[in-house]
Amino acid sequence: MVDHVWPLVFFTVLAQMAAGGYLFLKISRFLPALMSFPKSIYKRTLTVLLIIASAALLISFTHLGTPKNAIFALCNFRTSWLSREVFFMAAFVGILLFENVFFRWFSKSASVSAIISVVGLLILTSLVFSMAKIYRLETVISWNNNYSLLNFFSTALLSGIFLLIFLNPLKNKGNINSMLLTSIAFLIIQLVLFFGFSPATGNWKTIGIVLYVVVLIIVKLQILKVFPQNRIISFVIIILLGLAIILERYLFYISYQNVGI
Amino acid sequence: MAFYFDSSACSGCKTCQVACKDKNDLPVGIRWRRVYEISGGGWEQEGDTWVSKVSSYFLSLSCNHCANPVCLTSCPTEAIVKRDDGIVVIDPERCMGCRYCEWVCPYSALQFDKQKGQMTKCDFCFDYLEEGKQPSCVAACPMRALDFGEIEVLKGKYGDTINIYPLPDPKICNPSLLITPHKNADADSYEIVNREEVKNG
Repeated sequence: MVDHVWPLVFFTVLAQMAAGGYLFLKISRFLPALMSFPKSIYKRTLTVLLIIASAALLISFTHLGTPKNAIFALCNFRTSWLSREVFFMAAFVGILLFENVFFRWFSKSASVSAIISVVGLLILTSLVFSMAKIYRLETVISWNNNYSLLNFFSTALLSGIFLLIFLNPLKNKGNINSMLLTSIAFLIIQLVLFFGFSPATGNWKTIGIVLYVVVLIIVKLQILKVFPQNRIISFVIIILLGLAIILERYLFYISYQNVGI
Repeated sequence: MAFYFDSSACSGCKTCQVACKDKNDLPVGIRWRRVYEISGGGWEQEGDTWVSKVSSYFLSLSCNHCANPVCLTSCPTEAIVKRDDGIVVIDPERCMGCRYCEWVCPYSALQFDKQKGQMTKCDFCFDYLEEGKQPSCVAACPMRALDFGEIEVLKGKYGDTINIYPLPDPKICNPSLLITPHKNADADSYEIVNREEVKNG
């Protein structure tokens, strides 16, 4: 059971990071009062999101025993949340590809851009929702609750905003500070969910909580200007946060316990 | 099609398990039919003395070819199919080996074959049935603890008990399985004692 969960850990985390990143990128585009980026950063981030989402899609193939039959994965859209997840993941990569390749060069229309963005946001919401519903199983005691739903959306928001902080130019200090403050709220939500609702137990859960707390402290110290806002600190935060999220997700998968025999 | 299992008659010899592996040429680690040993009890006070009251019973279990198979509804590739005779089978031309059904099934009926890269499960020996023979597990049982047939016919012969420890609530997927329970099957403090053997042995 455990040996095939690592690809799922990386697939879900990367897909959610791309989804969260897309959400905040669009907020910066359409609600610049909340956060904003220079145009060059916007385009670069779109490319990074495409790379991350494509990597997630490729990684998802590595947990399959017979990848050639993945062409049938959309067949049971009517009843299988897994089919729906595959559909929305492919659609998300498609919309990112469209925005990166076609839309960037062939159309500059603001209204078309807005429509594409709304479609993209609907797709990513459906993607994260269907990802979470896959694990809401009546036959699995440890997963039959709202943790996966809340955690998957929370992970998307948390990893998405930190991805944008990491990609944001350092000269844009005011913008970063507002994003760091937002990220603290997401960190606290993630921590509360992990501590209070995760089916995981034991020492590794404690280590995960400690990692989140360390990230929280570093971010707070950055806001208070105790730590400098430079690439090294940002890199340390991304690494520690990535470890915490991956550990939390891995512990979720191995907490599997069914109702039966 | 449904299975019947007489837990009060089963001696736990695992001939059914071996016959199934032999007929289907299953690799090490894969058991389409599994025999669980459930035991419990302990010391009880009777007057001024303590007496040991322990016992065990067995449960021979394969895929139950459920009336409402959750594996089928959750399979993304529609590789899991319920035939007209009620037998649930996996289409190897469609299974992509994602192992989601392995998570979903509360009976651990679906098992991943690493060599094939696909899920496998009991197919009720439908090839034997077409030749007018019994499924290999039923034919091999020396205690005549296994039987098969149409569920309504089996209910008429053996009653309709299914909800015994440690099986999950039958309402989840309505298994095509009937059981004559062992006399201690409803006792408290009983547990599966060969879980590791069944899972990894």
